Amino acid sequence: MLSKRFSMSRLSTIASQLGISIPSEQRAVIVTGARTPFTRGFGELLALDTIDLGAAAVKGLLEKTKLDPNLIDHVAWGGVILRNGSPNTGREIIVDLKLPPSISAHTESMACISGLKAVLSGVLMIESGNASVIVAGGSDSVSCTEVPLARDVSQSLALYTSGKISASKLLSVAGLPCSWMPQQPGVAERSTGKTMGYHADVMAELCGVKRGDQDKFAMASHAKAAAAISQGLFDDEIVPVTTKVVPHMPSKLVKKDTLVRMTQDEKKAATLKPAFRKAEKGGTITAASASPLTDGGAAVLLMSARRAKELGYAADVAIRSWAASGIQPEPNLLLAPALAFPTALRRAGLTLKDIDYFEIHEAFAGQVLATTQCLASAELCKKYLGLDSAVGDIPLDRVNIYGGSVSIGHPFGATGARIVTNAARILRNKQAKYVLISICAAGGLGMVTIVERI
Amino acid sequence: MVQLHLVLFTPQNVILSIKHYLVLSLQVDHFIDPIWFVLSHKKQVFGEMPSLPFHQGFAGQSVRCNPWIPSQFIITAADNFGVTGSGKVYLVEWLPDHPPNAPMKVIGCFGTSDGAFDACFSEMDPNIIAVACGDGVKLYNIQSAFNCDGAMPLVAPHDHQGEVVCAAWNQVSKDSFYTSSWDGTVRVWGALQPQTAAMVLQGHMKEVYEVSPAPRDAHLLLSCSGDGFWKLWDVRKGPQAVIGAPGHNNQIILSIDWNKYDPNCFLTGGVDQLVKLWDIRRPQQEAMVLRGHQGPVRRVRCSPHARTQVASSGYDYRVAMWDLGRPQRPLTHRYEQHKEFVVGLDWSLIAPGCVVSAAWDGFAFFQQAGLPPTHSPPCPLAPALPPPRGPGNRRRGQGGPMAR
Repeated sequence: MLSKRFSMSRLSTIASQLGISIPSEQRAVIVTGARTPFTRGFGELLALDTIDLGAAAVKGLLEKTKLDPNLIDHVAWGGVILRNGSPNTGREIIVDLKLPPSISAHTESMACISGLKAVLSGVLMIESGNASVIVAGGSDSVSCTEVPLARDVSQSLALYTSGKISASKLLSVAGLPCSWMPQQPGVAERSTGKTMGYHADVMAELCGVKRGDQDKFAMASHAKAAAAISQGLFDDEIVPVTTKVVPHMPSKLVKKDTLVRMTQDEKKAATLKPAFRKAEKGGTITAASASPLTDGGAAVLLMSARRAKELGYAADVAIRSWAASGIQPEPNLLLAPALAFPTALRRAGLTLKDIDYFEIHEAFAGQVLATTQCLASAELCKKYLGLDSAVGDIPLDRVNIYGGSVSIGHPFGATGARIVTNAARILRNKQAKYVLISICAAGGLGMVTIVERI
Repeated sequence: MVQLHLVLFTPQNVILSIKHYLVLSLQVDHFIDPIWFVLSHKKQVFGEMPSLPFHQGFAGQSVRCNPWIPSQFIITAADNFGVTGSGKVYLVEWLPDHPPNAPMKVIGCFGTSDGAFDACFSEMDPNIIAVACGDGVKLYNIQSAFNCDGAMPLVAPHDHQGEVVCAAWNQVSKDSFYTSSWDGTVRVWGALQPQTAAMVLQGHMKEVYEVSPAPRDAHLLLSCSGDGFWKLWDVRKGPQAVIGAPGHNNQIILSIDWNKYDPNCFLTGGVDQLVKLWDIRRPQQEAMVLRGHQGPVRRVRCSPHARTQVASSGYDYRVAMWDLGRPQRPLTHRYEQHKEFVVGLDWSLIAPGCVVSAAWDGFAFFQQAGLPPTHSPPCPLAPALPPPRGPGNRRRGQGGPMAR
């Protein structure tokens, strides 16, 4: 068995010498992307659930590209807060938009990486020859989170209504009805019970990230996003959305992101209290340096290079490599992507210095800075990542040059797709060669993807 | 001249000369004056360029001319195309006046426990060779190894963590040699203390296919890799490359070789089917591109006799010769005698214009420009059984680039 494994390894290396790889025409290219405005949870897009938001993004994408829906092979979708009873958001989008029913769809969940993972699934389908045109993306609505009853209550009610237990048994197990009010779930790590913010706060402390640096980074994110908006960089991406009438809000037309602060108040940011741990216990992350709970959807159009050229679409951006990683949730839950950096770079045959720009998901400003500081430090790489040496320096002036999740917002399933669209924008606008995407996720997961202009 | 004409007009030689003329015409891309052909090739027209068949099932991997005895060539081969099994190392003698229809003269051969991918002679001792094997680099004394079953190496360090695919000796200082490996590193070894590497050159991100020491500078060497980069190293400046650049459209670079006359120029061959000439003073842009192969270029070699003459071999089964002094039409000769990937190639140091090629079809051809190589009768070969695979000969590849 051992020699067979090594023989296959040699065979694989020899095969790579023959240039046996994906034929260039079969390579998946990122044509373009579209998204809804991103708004704060329970805000302007309150009335739209994840399916509505996804449908709006896909509809906008199709209108923007004027793509004949009959050419779509599959919809690959990502999401975290899925509709109970209709968890395949991708398929529901097809139904709601009355797209050809022959289009297949699936929905996957990898926490905040979901949208990016859906894009990569689409890339895999195309490059394996199983599709030519795929719409990939993600969406999430914290406003429409279905809040569950406690398990004891829901199970007891189910047993009672089916006549399997008596009313007295129901009340003895589930308690009085006044105690049945469900609790809004927190964005917490299941295995530790602590929130993402708590873990990021601990991670920032362990990697030596100061409060002042976090505030500065967060303000820079807003400034960069504001500049991008002023320059109209997102105009061809954001799709205006008309919301439904709901008891809490009339119908309205939402045309732009509502979370970006066009002006910054440094003094006010400095006075904010830490949100997840008290300052005296080392807490540094505030509401201003954390990505807000957001509603939104984003979609990306993927095609094989051959099909894109046949249809007259751009075929100049593709995925070069990717790598997923996992880390023990305690203590550095959100540091997982740092583990994937070396693997993604190696698979691409690149070094960190070859990367022109970085798109690092800003779950928290402290988490981004902890990641970059850890990658640049041999000591931290050895201590927390088990690597022999530092991975390299990431210049902050090349990180998130059009803003990030702290400023634009972070609908869990949509962020990955938004970032892919942004990476393509950077490659085309800046005539750059490589953009590296890094996204952390609950569960101690990370995904790094290198996008290239071909 | 009279004698030549008498010889020309014997029926056999007329047919042979017509055949050779036609073959040469197919190999080159310009009209050949028949009279010129006869006058310039009169010796070879009536001769044949011999071949060496390897042991059954063994695929040729490399060829290097013996610097001590330039009529000899050290040739390596590997069982099952190097994927699995053992290896063979042959020392073969060939001279341009090799009698036609005579078998090749094999000075000796021995077996290795894993595939033998390259071998080079020590510049300090004519009896010592370094062999790059799938399970590490090994030094042998050819006097004790040749024609013995189970030949054991003098030294077999296991520093490399992947298959070792190239071994090259420093021709200037002569006191060190270099190896490149699929573990992504190049290692520098002291000739007097080869038990462990003196320096590890790290920087390539994937398997390193070849290393080429500078012919006139004891400290410089070039390497090429599956990461698509070639790199220049100066061992005085530590384990990081001095210069590096992507060479072949981000595709694997399979071979690299210094120009023997110009210390600034070198040649690369890649999966993109191109041979490229480079000047290290302008690393971002190749100086010349040679197109003609229809498959990945596996080996490139600069002639030791002419500044502008180079040879290449590839996975299109072809051996090509080029003249860099003719940029409009650089291809001068093309051979298609092999029936499989041509992996080994080197120039003869004793016969200008002669190259020796070794391929996966189990043959090595000894050929001169303008003549069709032919199959010689097989020569008796000692079994050259390899030593048993043991802890000292353990399998490589556990930590290499493929182990992800």
